[in-house]
Amino acid sequence: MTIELTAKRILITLIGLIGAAVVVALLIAYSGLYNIAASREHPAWLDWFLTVGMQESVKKNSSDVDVVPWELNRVLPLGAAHFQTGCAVCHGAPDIRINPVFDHMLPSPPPLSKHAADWKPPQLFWIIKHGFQFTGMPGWSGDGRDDEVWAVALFVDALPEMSEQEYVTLANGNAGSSESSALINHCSRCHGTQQAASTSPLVPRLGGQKPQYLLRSLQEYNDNVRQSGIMEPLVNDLEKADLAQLAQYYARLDEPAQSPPEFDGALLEEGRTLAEVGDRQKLIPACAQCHGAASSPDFPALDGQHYAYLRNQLILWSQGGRQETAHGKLMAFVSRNLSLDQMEAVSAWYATRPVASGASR
Amino acid sequence: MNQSVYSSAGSYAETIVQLTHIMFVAAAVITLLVVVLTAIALFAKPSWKSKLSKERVVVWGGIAFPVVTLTILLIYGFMVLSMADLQIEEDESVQISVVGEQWWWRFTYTAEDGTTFETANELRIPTDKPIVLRLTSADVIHSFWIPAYGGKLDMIPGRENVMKIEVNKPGVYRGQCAEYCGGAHALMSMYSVAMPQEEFDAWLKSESADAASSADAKGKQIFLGNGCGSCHTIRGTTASGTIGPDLTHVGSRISLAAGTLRTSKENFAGWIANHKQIKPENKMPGYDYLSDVDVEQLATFLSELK
Repeated sequence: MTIELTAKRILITLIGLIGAAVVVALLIAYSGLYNIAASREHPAWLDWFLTVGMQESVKKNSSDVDVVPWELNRVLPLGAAHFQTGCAVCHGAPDIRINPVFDHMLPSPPPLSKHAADWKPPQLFWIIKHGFQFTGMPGWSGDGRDDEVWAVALFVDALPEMSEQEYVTLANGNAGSSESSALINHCSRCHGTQQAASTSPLVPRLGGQKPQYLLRSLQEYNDNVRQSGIMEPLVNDLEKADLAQLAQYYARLDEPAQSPPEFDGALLEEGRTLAEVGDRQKLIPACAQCHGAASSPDFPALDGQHYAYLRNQLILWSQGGRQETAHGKLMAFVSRNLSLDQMEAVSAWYATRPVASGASR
Repeated sequence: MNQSVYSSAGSYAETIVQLTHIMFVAAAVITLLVVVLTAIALFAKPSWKSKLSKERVVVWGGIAFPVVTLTILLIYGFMVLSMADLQIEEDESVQISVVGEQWWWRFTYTAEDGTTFETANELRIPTDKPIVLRLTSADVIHSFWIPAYGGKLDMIPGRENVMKIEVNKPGVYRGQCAEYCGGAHALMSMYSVAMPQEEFDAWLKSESADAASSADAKGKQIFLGNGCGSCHTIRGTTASGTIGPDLTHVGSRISLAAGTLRTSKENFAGWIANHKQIKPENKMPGYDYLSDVDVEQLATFLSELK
């Protein structure tokens, strides 16, 4: 007896097979047959399946990531310090063994000194930004802060080549170079101290900044309204009193100046004009009216601030990355009309201004 | 405070109203004539109908009459237009430059000593004196229109259009932007105050002077500390911004925000706190972080800028 292959029969068979597959899947789930325990390895076939799926997904999804040409010496200290705060506990570091608690995760977090070499920088960027489902790997906690993600991605990329000594120097930054508390030492890994300027010009100079502005910024990080995957986790555990202590410490700190890069005279002149007069045609108000000597203690002083930090923040603002706070909205209004040239000019102008000493504020 | 095209405040506006009336009356008479002729064509005796169908009716009534009437009207129209130019000797006039901006009016006056100064959203002029308004725009096309003064003229970016007016009746008149210019166009109005020469001279003197405000006013510190001065000028203080309206004597103006609100302390406070709702899309940024007390003190300071 032969069965004639008709479209109708094929369709019914297909539906039947799919239905059977769903029933089997539900049976497995409801029967509890599959052992979900993390205390044993995945069976080899499942391990292969999950690994291939993960690798191909990263390759496909990261294919449109554009590599941003960050200067390595600027981002490595930042990436290293954040790696130590947020990543080393699971992934280990040249001087840190993986914590046994996290080593018993399934899949266990790979030691990146070895495994980072499996990925290219855009793939690392994508992984750090988005994280992995069904593993302990989280997505980046600062919305819109691709600049920070790049710092960590480029650091992780450089990690396999790094000696323990190099890593420790990068990750610890200025910590230990001052006489102060553990709390301050934590911050000094990136920010300046009495002896040293901040470890990267992308990290703001805080010494001598207005205390009320510093406190506001810390509070905004704590409230998850100012976005930073680096600052938010650090401030998360701090009490109000800690925040106030930090604000006072940095306001009084006399941080050594970091010599700014050499700037073209015409660029500085353009920056000065923007800062003092603004640009009426483009509806750009003069910076000095808000950031001058007589301005509200809520507004930061900019004199002597690092060029790279100012430029980076202005770009961030113009891309909508800092408009969640009431003060941030105000600056967003200004920065959306600034061209990149103008951002650089005005950043250069403020970077070359002599900084007022900490005690005088 | 009227904004009617039928009530004129000056001789030139009067001739325009006259022209309007002539046109309406003539049009009414002609319409009546056409209706009568149509009625004849439909219902009259055949002898009347045949007279109406003669060729000379078309030649005289359909060609000669419109040509003559429209030519007279055109010549009269040109005469009315040129009147505005002829009646003004430039050096005896008051020269005011007007810039349309989204969505307010920037006025620049020349003081007695020859220096210029700015004010906004309120056009003050002397009566019985030729006024030359130099109109342009900072962004898009606006149109300057105070109906009681007669005439309406576009304000075009990169070009200066000149409007000449003379007003005889003192009073307060309302005007508005008459060319759609974006979001808040409907709230781009202004008041114009026509006042006798002596009063105008006194106003010009006080308006050109620096702001009268006590140096230690709390509201002033809030104004300067929060960067309001980066867009607004208050002469006599460090506030020197030129992006937004000059506020040196804002407390003495009839309206706030280009005719949007009546000037009062309460309205200053309401404006600062809720201007995005009151005049949507206006270019001032929000100051959500200011406390109620800050806003109150700011409003007091601004309303005292007489």
